[in-house]
Amino acid sequence: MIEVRNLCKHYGRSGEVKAVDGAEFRCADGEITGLLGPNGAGKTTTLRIIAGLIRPQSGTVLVDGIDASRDSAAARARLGVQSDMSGVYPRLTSREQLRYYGRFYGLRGEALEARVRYVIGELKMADIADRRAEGFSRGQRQKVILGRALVHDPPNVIMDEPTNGLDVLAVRDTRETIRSLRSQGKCVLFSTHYMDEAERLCDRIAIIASGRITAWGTPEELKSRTGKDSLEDAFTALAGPEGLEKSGH
Amino acid sequence: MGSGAANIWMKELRDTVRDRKTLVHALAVPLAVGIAYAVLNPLLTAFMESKAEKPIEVPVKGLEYADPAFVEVCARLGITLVPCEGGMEESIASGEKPAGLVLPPDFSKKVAAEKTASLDLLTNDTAGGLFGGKFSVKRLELALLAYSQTVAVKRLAVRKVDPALLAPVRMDARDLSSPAQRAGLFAALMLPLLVAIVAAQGGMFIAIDVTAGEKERGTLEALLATPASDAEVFLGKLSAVFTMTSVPVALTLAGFWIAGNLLPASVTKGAVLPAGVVFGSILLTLPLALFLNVVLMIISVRTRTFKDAQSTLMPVIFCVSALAMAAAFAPPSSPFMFLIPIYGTSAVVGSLALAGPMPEHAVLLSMAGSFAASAVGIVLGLRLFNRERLLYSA
Repeated sequence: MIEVRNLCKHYGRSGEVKAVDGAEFRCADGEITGLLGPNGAGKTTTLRIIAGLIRPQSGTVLVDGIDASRDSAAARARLGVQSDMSGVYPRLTSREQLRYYGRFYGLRGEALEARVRYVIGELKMADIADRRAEGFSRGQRQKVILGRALVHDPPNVIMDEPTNGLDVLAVRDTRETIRSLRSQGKCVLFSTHYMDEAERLCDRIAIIASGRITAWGTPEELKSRTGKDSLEDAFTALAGPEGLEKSGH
Repeated sequence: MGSGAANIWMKELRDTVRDRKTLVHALAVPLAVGIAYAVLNPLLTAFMESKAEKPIEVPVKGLEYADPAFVEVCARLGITLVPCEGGMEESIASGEKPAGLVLPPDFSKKVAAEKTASLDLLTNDTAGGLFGGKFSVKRLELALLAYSQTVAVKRLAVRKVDPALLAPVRMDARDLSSPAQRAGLFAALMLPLLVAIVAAQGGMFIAIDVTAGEKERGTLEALLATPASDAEVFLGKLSAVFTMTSVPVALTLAGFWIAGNLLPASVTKGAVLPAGVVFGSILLTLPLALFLNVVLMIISVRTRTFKDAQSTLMPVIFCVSALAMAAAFAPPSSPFMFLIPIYGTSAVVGSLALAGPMPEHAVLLSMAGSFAASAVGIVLGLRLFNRERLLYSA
């Protein structure tokens, strides 16, 4: 479970750029939580703070009850992170990349090999498992990146726009993986700006605008709260000026 | 703490070994440089010696006024005097000829009349490059001195005076330098420079690849999202850079020694650096390489792209070369100067190459200087190696 409490991250000399401004939400185990927001809303910064890559000015991130600012390594050990900036090591095979990441989480010997085999099977990467990543397609790279995030069997998985730039088949595979993670009882938090994706996948959605969570609930709750028929219309209402005003901006 | 660093070290080594371009840069280039320099060293020594004995032609204005004895003395020293055609001053000033003589019409008459005869020696020290003009001038001066003494001896003999009266002191000079020391003449200048540059450049591409290169590929963020601590990531990468730098350093010096020993004795004339000098230099260079690796890592960690890192690191290579050159031309005047990183090591390697006396504690001080600077650099590097700054600040 991931809990975010009053998270703030401001940039600039006097903190005039409020990338994240008092964000609060909770992602439960066995659920998919979508972080939905327009470009520059603070989605990526929020996810990076949760991943321990950025220190917030204030606020708390709890990963399975572990305060990430107090015991960052322990919190990171319970997370699998797939970021939008991720690349692959072109001179290593997919299998070697999975082993490399698995070792950071204490996996060794047969336990490591078993997890690597499992991830290769789950993500359907047998055909690229022993190929060097140089020349991989976007979809193949995405599988390696996702595999690295999952190799240690983390109870919490965060993904930053996981389907961005993928073809239809790769998008379908990625969505299947996300559903499979939920069925395994994992807590999945991902950011997206695709409404249909959020509606199809998410159990709960946190709408973020100007660094602040303007709404939080199931897709149906968000629609009924705004009186709109589609999530897109609900999102427009909640992430727009009206939503910001209601959330205290 | 150790396992994360070891994991990174192993991965970086595997990654580097598979990168043909980096591997060629790290292995083949230093080996070739070592071999090339090993060949160059005895050739330069032989060239210098042959330059001193090579026959030279000197244009003379007024050669017809020269005493035949003077021409003969010059010939004995390998100097052929030829009549000057055209403007002598112009050809010497332009560097076409290194030196020329101007004999006045009364030159021989004055010599015969036992008066002081004067002649003009025109020179251009820059003609023929670094090893050109000065050699010709030195030999001409020697010829004039020899001729002057010959004439003086004749004059004294006519007067039945013992010529020894004119030479109360005689100096017999003997060069006691060993072939190794002669080999070290150029090595003392070149080896420290070579060693310092290889230590700096051998690790440069790898240091960039594991920092700015990883940022550029987009793999750093995923790595920093693992439980590995900042220190583990920094030290793991530094260890890989150091390992990959040690190889070219060792290869350069080993190549230098092996090639020197494979060359025929007719080329080297026994002037080959002893194994102790070469392998001692390797040991001395490793702490220096560690220090330079730390500097390269600290700088390249702050850059965002490979290209950016390359241009940012260029001044480092310049500083390293400058300090190594400084050690060759202005060696340490106090023992504590050996503590200065790069400078101290270069001075010790230079002294080793000359096979001369080594200042007391110089080896220890130079190694201590490099280790201390590395330790300070590592502490600074660990302070600077901060996830957020590393990933998202320019």
